[in-house]
Amino acid sequence: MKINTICIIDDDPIFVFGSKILLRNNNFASDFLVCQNGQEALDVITPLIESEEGLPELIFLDLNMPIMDGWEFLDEFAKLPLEKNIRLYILSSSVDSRDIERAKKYGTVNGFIVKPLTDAKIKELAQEIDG
Amino acid sequence: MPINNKNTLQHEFGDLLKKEGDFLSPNQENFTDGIWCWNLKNPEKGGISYKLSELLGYTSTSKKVIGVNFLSLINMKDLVLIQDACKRHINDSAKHPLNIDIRLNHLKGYSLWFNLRGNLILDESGDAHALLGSAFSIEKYKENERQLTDWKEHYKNVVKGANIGIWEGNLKTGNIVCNERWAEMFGYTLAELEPLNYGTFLKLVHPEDNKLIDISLENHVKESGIYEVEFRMQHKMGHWVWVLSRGEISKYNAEGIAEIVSGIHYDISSRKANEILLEKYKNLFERSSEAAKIGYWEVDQQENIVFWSKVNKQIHEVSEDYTPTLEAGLDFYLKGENRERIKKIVSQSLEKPIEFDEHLQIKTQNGNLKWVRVIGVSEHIANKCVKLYGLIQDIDEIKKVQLEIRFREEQFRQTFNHSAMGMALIDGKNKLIKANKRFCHIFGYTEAELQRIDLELIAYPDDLKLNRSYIKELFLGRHKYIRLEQRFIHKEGSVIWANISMSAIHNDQGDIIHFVSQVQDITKRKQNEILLAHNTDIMKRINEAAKIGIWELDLGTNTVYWSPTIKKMVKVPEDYVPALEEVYPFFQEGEHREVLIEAIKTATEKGEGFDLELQVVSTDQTVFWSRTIGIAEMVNGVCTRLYGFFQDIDEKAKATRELAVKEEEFRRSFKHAAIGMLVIDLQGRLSKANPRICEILGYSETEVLEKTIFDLAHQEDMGRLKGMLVEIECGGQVSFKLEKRCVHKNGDYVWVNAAIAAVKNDAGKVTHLVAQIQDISDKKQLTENLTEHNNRLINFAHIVSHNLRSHTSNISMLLDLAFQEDPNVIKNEYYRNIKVVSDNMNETIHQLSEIVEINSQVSSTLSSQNLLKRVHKAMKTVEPLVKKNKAIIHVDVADNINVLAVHAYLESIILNLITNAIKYRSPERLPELKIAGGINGEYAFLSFEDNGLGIDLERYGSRLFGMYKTFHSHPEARGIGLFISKNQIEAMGGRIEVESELNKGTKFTAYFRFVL
Repeated sequence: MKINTICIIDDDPIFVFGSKILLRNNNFASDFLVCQNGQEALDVITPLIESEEGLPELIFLDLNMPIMDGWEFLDEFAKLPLEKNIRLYILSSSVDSRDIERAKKYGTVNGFIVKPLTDAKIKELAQEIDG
Repeated sequence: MPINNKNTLQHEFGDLLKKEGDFLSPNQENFTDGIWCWNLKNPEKGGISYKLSELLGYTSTSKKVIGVNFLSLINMKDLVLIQDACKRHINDSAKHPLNIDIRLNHLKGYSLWFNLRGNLILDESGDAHALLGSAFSIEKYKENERQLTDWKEHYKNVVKGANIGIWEGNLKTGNIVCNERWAEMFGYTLAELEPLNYGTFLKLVHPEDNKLIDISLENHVKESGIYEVEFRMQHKMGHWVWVLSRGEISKYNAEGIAEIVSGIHYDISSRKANEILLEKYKNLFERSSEAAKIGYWEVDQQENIVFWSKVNKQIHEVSEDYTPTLEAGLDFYLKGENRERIKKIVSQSLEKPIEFDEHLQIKTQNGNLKWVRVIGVSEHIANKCVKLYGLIQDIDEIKKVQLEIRFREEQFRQTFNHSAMGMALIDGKNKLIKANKRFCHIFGYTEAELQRIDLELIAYPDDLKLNRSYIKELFLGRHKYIRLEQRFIHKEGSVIWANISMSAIHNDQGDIIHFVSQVQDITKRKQNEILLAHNTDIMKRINEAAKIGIWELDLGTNTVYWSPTIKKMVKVPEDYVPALEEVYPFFQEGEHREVLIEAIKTATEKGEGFDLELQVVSTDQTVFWSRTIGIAEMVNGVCTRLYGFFQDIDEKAKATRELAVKEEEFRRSFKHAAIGMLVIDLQGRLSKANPRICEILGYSETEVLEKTIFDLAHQEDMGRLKGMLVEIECGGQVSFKLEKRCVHKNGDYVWVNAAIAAVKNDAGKVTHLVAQIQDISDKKQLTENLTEHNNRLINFAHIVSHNLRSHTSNISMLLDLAFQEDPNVIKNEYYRNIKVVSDNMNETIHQLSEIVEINSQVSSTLSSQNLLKRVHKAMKTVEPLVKKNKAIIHVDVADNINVLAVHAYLESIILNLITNAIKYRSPERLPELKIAGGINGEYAFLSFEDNGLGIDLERYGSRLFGMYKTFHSHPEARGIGLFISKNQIEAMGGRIEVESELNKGTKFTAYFRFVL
C-alpha cells in the first residue's frame, strides 16, 4: 500500500516538524495534512470525503490536545461515512496502560505508537503496512 | 296260699317270692329281669327283687327283696295304663292276664321300658290282696321298635310315589327281597330272577364293580353309616344300567349284629329318572331347607327359564312373585371381586360341565350385605349347556363369626408380634413354642435358639433357686398366673432384670395347653434403684465432706448437741457437750458473737428461725466463716426445740468476698476509664455504659441504654456486627477488633476502634459481651487525608510524567534529526552532553511512570499465580547470568502455593531479587542463593537468601527501599529495583522484609496474599 498523504493531528509544532523530516527521510510519505486538534481535523477531512480527492491514507493522532482531544475525535471519526479505509495510529507520549487499553477498544485504531517517533519505529510501521 | 308271717310286708313278700318259685320254672326265672310285688290295699307299698332293683339304679347290700313306693316307681304317663290293666285282671284274671309294657322310673330320673306280667294274689277272705309278677326289660326292643317305626315312616315316604327299586338283603342268609320295579330296571320280572339272592344279584353287577359293593357294604356294617355306591348292572337286553344304590342296616339280631340291610336303587343312567329324582329332591329341599335357610336355584338354558325357590327369594329379600333372570341374579353379587367371580364361574359353567362351591357377598334388594354359599352344577348335553342348578345358603352369620374369629386371631397375632413387651408361648415342659421379637431382643437370642435351649439356662441361677418351686406350682396348675421379678442372663453375658408374668392357658376341657409369658425388661429401673441406694450412701459421705453438721439445743439442760462433723470443725473432743453459754465463745468476738446470741434469743422466744454467715474461731484459734441455720419448734408459744445445721463456708465466703472486690474494681475502672466501655447482651442491647462512651456518642447514660449496638452503628458496619454476634453464638471466635463508625447523637459519624470480647460464665456459656471503644475520629481523618494526599500525588506524578515525556521525547527526536542531518554534530561537546541529559531524562521519566503505573490498576488485574511456576520461569530467564557467575540456586518452594498477584509484577519481583543476589555477590566467594517459599499465617512468603555483600542495615535500613538509593559502589546499582519491587508487592497487598549482615549475606522475604 502506497502512502501518499499522512494526516498528523497534533498540537505540538516541534513534534510535527520533527516527524515530517523523519517520515520524509524514510520515504514514508510525501504529503502531510497537519491539524492542530481533533475539531480541525474533522473540518478538513469531512469535505474531502465527498470529493474523494486528497483523503489521507494514514492518520497519526495525538491524545492530549485542546478543543477536541484524541478520544473525542475517535468518537466522531467513527461516524464519518468513509468508503475508503484510512489507517489510524495513535501517536502519543502517554505510556499509561489505561490509555493503551482504551485505544484497543476502538475498531478504527490500528495501533498505538509511543513518542518519540524514531527511524526504527517508522521502519516497523512500514513493514506492518506492507505486510 | 299260706297266711303265716302276714304281719310284715317283708315276710309276706318273702313268702310270696318263695311261692312264686313254685310256679315259675327255673328256666323262666332265669329269663326274667326281676320279680315285683304290689300291695293292692296300700298302692304305695310294693317290693322288687334284687335283680330288678339293680336295673332301676338301687343299691342294696343283700340280694333280697326291697320295699319301694310302687306308685312312684311307675312312670306317670303309664300309671293309668297299668291301673286299668290291673282292674281288668282283678275282675277277670282268666280273660285278662296281666301283660303290659310300661316304663319304670330309674333312680336317676329317666325311665326304662319293662314288660310286666303278673298274677293276682288273694288273701284268706278271697279279696284281691296283691299282685305278684315278673319283669322283662324291653328297653332295647322298645328302642328298636321306635327306630323301626321311624324307619318305616321314612321308608314309606321314600317309596311313596317314587318309581324306584327297593331291596332288602339278609346278611346271614344272603337272601334278597326286592320289588318289581327293581327288577324292571334291568328288564326282568322278579319271577325271572328266582331264586333271588346276593349271588344272583352280583351276577348282574358289572365285574369291575363287584368289589366296590363288597367293600362299601362291609364298611357300612362296621361303621353303621349309610351304604351308598354307584355301579353298573347288566340289563336283560345286554346293555349296562348305571345304578345308585343306597342302604342301611335295618335290623340287628339279638346279639346286636347287623342282620338285614335294606335300601333303594336308582337308575341314574336315565336322565329322565334323574329329573324325576331331582324334582323329588327339589320338593324335599324346599321343605327341609327352609329352616336351614338353603335356597334352590335353576337356570334352564333350553327353556330360558330361571327358577328361584322361596328361600332363595328370602335370601335375596325379594317378594315371592319376583321373576328372576340370570343377569339380574348376577347383579345381586357385590360389585367388584364378588360379581366378577360369579360371572366368571357362570360363563365357565356354560362352556363345560363343572361343579362349584363359592362363598360370596351379595347385596339384597333391601340393600343388606350378606355372605352366601353358592353351590352349583352345570349339565351339558352334546357339548351344550342345558341347565345350571344348585343351592344357595345364607351363611352371613357363619361367615361373620368366621371372620370375627380370624380377626381376633389376627389381633392376637399382631399384639403378640408387635407388643412392646416380650411375649412368649411356653409348653408344659418349659420349652418355648413361640416368642415375639421383643422377647428375643430382651434376651439377645433368636427365636430358633430359644426354642432349642432349656429356658432355665437363661435364668440367673440364684434367682431361679428362689423361684423354682413357685414356677413348678404354676406348671402343676396350682396358680392361674404368677408374677416374678428376677434376673436373667443375656446371651452376651450381661445381667437383665425382668418382670415376668406367666399365665396358664386352658382348653375347653380345662386342661392346661400352654403358658403365656410376658416379660418386661426393667434392668434400667433396677439399676436406678441400686443407684439410688448408692446415692443415699454417697449423700451421707458428701455431707461429711461438705462439712455440714447438725446441732440441737436441749432447752431442758441448756446443753447443745453437736454432731461429730461440727466437733471436728471446731476441733473439740468427740465427747464434748457444751452448755449454750459455752457455745458463744466459738463465734468471733464482737459483731459475730452478738448477732448469734441475739438470733438464739429471738428464736427461743419468738420461734423465728435464722440463717447466718458468721466467723467462727476453733480451739486452735483458726478463724473460718460458717453458715449457721437455726429452726425453732414452738408449741403453744413456747419453744420446745431448737436445732439446725452448721456449715463451714470459709472457702465460699472468701471467694464471694474476693469477687465483690473484683466487681468493685471493675465497676470503678468501668466508670472512670479513659476509653468508652459497654456491656452488651447477646441480642446486642446495651446493658451498661460508662461516662466516656456517653461522651463519645453524645448521649446521656439513660438514653444510650435504650439503644442497641445496631442503632449506634453505621449502615455499612451492620453486616459485620451481625456476623460477629452469630459467630459468638456459634461458639467460634470470642474476641473481635473492629474499626467502625458509630452514629453520634447529632447524626455525625464517629470513627472508633472497638475491642469486643465475649464473657463466659463458669459453665463456659457466653452470657454477655464487653466492648472497649476508642474514639479514633482524628486518626481516621488523618488517614483519609493521607490517602487523598497520596492520590493527588499520584495524579501529579501522572501528569508530570505524561507532560514531561512529550517534551523529552521531542528533545531526543530533535537530537536524532540533527545527528542524521549532520553526523559531525557528535563532535560538538555541547551536543554530546545535551544528548546524555536527554537520555537520562527519558529514563527517569520512564521509571517514574512505571511507578505510577504500579498503583493504578492493580486490583483489576490480580489473579491466582502459582509461586513455584513463577520461580522456575524466572530462573530460566536468568540462566545465562547464573551460568556466567557460576551461581548456585537452591529452590525449596511447595508446589501448591498460589498467590494473588499481577503476573508481570510477580515475575519482575522474582527476577529483580534473583539478579540482585547475583549482582551484589561477594568477590570472595561464588554466589549461592536459597529460594524458599511457604505459608506463614495469613500470608504466603517467598524468601531469597544470598551469601553476598550484605547491607549495613543500621546505616541504610530506613532508605533501603527508597527511590534512587544505592548502597554499593556498584556500577550497575541504579537504586530503582527495590523501590519498584516494594511498590509492586505493596500494591498487591503484601510486604517485603529484609535481614542482612555485612559481608555475610542478605535475605529478602516477600509476603503475598494467597489463594486457598
